Amino acid sequence: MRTSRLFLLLSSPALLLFASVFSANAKPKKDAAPATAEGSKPALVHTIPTSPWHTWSDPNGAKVDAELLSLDGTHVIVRTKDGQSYRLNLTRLVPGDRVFAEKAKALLPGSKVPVKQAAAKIDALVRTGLQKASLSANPPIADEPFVRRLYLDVAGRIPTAGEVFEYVHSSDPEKRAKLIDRLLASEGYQSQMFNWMADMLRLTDDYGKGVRSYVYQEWIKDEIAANRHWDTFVYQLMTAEGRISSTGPVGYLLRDRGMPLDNLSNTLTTFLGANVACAQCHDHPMASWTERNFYEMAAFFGATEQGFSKAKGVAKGAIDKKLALKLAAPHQARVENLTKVTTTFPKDYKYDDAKPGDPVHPKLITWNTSDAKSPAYLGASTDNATQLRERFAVWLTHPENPRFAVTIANRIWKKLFGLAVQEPVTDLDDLKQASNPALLQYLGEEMKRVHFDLREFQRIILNSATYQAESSPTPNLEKGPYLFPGPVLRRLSGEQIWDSILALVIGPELDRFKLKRADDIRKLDIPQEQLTAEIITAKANELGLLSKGGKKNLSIGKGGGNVNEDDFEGGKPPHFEGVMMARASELTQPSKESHFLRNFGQSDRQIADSNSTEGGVPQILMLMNGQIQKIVGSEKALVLRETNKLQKTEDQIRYLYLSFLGRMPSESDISTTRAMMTSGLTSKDLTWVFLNTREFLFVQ
Amino acid sequence: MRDPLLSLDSYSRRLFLERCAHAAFGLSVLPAFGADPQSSSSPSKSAAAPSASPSTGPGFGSAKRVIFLQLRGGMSHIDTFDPKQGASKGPKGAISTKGHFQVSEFLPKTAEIADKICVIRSMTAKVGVHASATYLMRTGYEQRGTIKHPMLGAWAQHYLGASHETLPSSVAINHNAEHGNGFFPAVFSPLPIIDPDAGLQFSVPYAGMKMVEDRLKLVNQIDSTFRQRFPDENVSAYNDFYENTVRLMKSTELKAFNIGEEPESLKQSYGSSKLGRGCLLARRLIEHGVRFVEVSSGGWDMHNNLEDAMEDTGAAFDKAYAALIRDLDSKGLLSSTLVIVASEFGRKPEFSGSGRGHYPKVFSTVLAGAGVKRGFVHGSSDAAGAEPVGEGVTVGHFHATIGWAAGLPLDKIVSAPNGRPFTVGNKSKPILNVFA
Repeated sequence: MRTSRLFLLLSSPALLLFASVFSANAKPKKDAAPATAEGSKPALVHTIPTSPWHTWSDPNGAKVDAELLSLDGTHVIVRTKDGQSYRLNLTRLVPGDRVFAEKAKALLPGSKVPVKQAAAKIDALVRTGLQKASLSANPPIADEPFVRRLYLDVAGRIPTAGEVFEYVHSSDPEKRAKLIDRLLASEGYQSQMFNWMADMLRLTDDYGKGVRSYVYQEWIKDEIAANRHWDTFVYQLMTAEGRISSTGPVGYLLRDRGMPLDNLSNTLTTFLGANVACAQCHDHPMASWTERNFYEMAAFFGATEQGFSKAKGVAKGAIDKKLALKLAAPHQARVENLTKVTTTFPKDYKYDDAKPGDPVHPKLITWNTSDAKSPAYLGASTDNATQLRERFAVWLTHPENPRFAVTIANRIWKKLFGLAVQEPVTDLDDLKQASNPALLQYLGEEMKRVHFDLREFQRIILNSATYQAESSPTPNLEKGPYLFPGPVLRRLSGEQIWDSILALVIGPELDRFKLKRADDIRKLDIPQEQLTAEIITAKANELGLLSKGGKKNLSIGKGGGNVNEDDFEGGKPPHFEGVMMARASELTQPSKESHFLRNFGQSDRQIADSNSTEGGVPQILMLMNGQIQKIVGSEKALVLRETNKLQKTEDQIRYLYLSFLGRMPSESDISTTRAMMTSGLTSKDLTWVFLNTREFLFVQ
Repeated sequence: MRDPLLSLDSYSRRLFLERCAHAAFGLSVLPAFGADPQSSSSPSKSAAAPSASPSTGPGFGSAKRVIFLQLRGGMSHIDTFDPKQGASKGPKGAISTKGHFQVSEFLPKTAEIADKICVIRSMTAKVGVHASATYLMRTGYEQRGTIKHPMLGAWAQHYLGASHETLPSSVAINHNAEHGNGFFPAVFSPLPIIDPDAGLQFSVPYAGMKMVEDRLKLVNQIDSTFRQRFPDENVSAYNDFYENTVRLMKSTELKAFNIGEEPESLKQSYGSSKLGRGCLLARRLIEHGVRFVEVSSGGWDMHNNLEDAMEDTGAAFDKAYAALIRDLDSKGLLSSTLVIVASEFGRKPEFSGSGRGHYPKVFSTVLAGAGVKRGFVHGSSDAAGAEPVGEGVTVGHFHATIGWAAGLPLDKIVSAPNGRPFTVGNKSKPILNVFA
């Protein structure tokens, strides 16, 4: 049935137009240079390119943009945007291409065997769990809903009509695995992962007092692009030392400057699922955490100064002190190691084992008495105060930490299935409470086996039959655990809806515009001992900060909520209805409360994991009468331009269904829609209709 | 009025209630008007605290509606409701009022209605930073990095249910909602009105109501296969949100958002400031059944040029506030409406340059209406306006007092999704002395 409908479409003149869609989608890619992280690099350095796309050149200057498919001795097989494959002789290309090809090998679907084996093991464990409850898995998902789900989960947006069409039309038996690989290597993946982390890590632009977290944010993006493994990434968050104007990862501790206990509470719940919020003030009533445990953990950060120090020695010189301070101070916010632990028991400490004000000695928590024997607990002593955070980080990110691997595995599972194996993800104190403990344990083991490579871990899950099953309606967890017969039907996140609207309005070009706001801040990164009025004046002049009437403000990024179109790499993002069309990851963090993203549940970044998919009247008013329906229905929008190129009403209807819902319309869909068009509804009106369907707002 | 709960068959009703009960997990709809709120809208378990005291006494439940004026930046107590002589004296002196107490000369119109209001002059707090102080004043709790506390409107909706079938129970005017729902479901979040003159954003049907309804029919047809396949609570919640929205758009109650319908002379009495427009809109909204309206006004961070700023921002407040109290009184609404004037903190007794710095140690708030004593002053600051005399009124006490007036059970504990227990006013006692 589907084939014949496709055939119908292919045999119509629309084919040419669909082909033109593909070529319209093919935008020159900027050079996929390997992402680099600034600062001292950890031992684990990945220099692989972030994308298999590359501009291949021969010594005569001929160039072609193409994606690396495979490496075959002295030849590469590449595919251009129009889908054509070519075999190129590497010896006839420029040397840089050979280097690229060698490095990009890591991106290629290499050994598929372990992925498939691991996915099969997951399926078996899920099946066992379902069988115990006399349940069975959902049927496999069809191609069309699969491609939509995969784009949303991996690239953070719906596929374009062209992308659905291309996928459904392919007869390659490995097309699912290949699409998974392609999307995991795409820029959309990086954007999507950034949004996920931004919610978890509570990323905000504005740290107060003129301090901006742009260097931190760009560092995170670089880490994602380099596919830095989770253990290394978290290790850096815990141990970084330096100024916020040069050392990205200090942004993690500085996020909660002055509130180190809250920061620790978040660290323990986010990375270890240790439910310690209560123990911050008193012994946990149910779990075994004591207030003493909490303070002993806090002591690992007790020899760390995190502050917005005043810039010293800027009193004299060409510009006045006030101005110099204003320019220099925000960029001096830093994390520094001290030589002495300053943590003491709180004034209202009410237990017998210590007195208020007593110094606290750092001590790691355990979940079971046997934990202390695990390698994570062995090693360096806690005597040297300057190494306390390092000691903590080694333990935290150790593969044998009792909760580190399983916590991130559980979180990734939730990201792809809508529910975690054990809920909530912030409380894994008792792993027996998991809906399927054997599954959770295996996921933790797999996370260790792939060395905390989140991309590889997701590749495994995405290739499982469990992921590739039809979704279930939202389960009532009070009636029993959800055993994952398939993913859970979900409303798109605010970021997914926004980025999907971008896909409709500007197409795959949406990944072109990259926000880069940290350069000016990096230029004002001056070591404290070198801070003089002369140097600040010179830097300020260099940056044009002192010229009156100039665009720039004295403090960089003042307002902490404005993104300027000049701040983008890859060109200025287009505006529709006065709204900047850039991905959620490339806008202010978080967006202003009046923005579409916030209306649809983007977290305000005050509390970890508080992105919401709840509805509300303001959302519906926005979809029915607000800017967004004007943007989607704009004559300038890609979806309408392409629709209106099609002659036949049926083809227009098909194109709109593919664009918004990622599927071909049924015969009855076509006749219903055609009847409305006959009675006066235009294709523009139909964009309003599709935007307001539940099918658009939810992912199967 | 149609009761949506009654029109459902038993299966759907069960689904509906389950959906509400699981609001914290996923989506939720407005709690059914008139339904037992605690069973239908609570995301969490409620339990009486061990020391539960009977929720009755003077003033309890006297406020059917609350208007909360939040003056952003930190209102100088000395230059408004707690004038001082001597070293602390501001650019203007004190004037007598109808309320047998003095206010600053900056508030001549308020002086005229001072016989209807109750000033608390012994407010005290420890937070002198704008964002944290605003947070404390709006929620009664200090800001944490691990939990978001609800505003009073959300607490009221939790305990009392929705205040109207189509209109929202809470509205925030001149400012974003800032997650006023706290740990309650997002539907408890106040509906934001950014511009009081423009009213409810995007409520005017695109291309006309008929067109919208025709198109929604097509939406329902296109969507029918999907909705049949997924009898999902979150999908149905959205179906309900669409119904609620259309009902609101068609509702004659929508006029509650339109201050253009007010007589010109009344509009003039409130003034053309955003605060004045906001106060007028607030009055219309509570009149139509909205329970909790917050009106924000900026411009109170008077480090410099305090005198000029008071002549501007202060005068706009003076005009709007006096008009609001008079208007409510003349419509017979004041006796059941609690009007609150709150800010972030006070300002320093000493003048530095042309203004005053932040000062949380002592400051003033004002209550009016709803069983509150008229022409009364509770508590006082010392001669310099630097310290509360005796035990001060904390923001927790203040919230407990408002909660008490609104008829909320102060002794009931709600467990937030993170398991931590919370109460209205953070376990503080209400100041019963302010009630007649």
